[in-house]
Amino acid sequence: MCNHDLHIQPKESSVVPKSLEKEIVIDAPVKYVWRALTDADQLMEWFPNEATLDLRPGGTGKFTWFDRAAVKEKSGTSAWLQVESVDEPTSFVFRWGHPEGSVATPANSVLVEFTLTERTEEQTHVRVVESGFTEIEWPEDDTLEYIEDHKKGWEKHMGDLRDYANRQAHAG
Amino acid sequence: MLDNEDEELWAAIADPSRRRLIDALLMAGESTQSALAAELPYTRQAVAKHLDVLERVGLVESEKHGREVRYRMVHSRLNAATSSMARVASRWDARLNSLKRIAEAAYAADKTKRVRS
Repeated sequence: MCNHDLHIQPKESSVVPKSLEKEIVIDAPVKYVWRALTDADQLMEWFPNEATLDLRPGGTGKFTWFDRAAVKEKSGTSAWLQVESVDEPTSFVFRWGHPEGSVATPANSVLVEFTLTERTEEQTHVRVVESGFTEIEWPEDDTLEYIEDHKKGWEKHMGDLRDYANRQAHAG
Repeated sequence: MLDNEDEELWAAIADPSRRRLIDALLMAGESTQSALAAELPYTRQAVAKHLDVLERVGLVESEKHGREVRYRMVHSRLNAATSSMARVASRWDARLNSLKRIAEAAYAADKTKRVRS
């Protein structure tokens, strides 16, 4: 059977959705919601325990969640952010999940899109869409090694895989 | 952002060809390497490799029937992947509720200040 001419989109397994979408209505003017969403100090009150964020396209950020057992040490899980677009006060889009120091692309990160809509002067609708789970690329040969090693944290692991794949790509 | 515990599952499922294999196995209930290779646009070797990965993470199990090896999906493991996704989704619910609390509190505080002045 000659397959290389067929370009049929593989049917996605229902296990992995294309995106997650959630929404909420907030009884505050849109600028309050925008501030809570994009100001690092306010972010730390509801999202990560620690946040740095350079709020402009291409800007980077770091979110850290402390381990409950190690709050004093301030150690935990971190995610690096890459801002894709900022349109105050309606839209804030970033990528995350990619390894520290790397450029975020659809192959190594997922996309998070926040959309704020003013319903009334005192009410804001917020929608968040997280997508790109099915687009992430895992270097094929590394998958088995990765599975053997599954105890490492997810983000460290993607970093390891990426480095390994890059080294493999540039070797010989 | 994905759940740390399930990253091996995600590595296995991340590949679109493997997802397609999963769908084929779900449809057939049970299948063999050659039947899958015949049905899908992948070589026998590719199918074998994918099945190996899926078996290692427990998504697929195999059983020998004479000279034939039959493969089946492990539904509990598949459900674990679905639950993992559900957990990611519910984390957003929690975050949005917290965002609501923070934004509304900030607004209420400002309103109080204005009323007082």
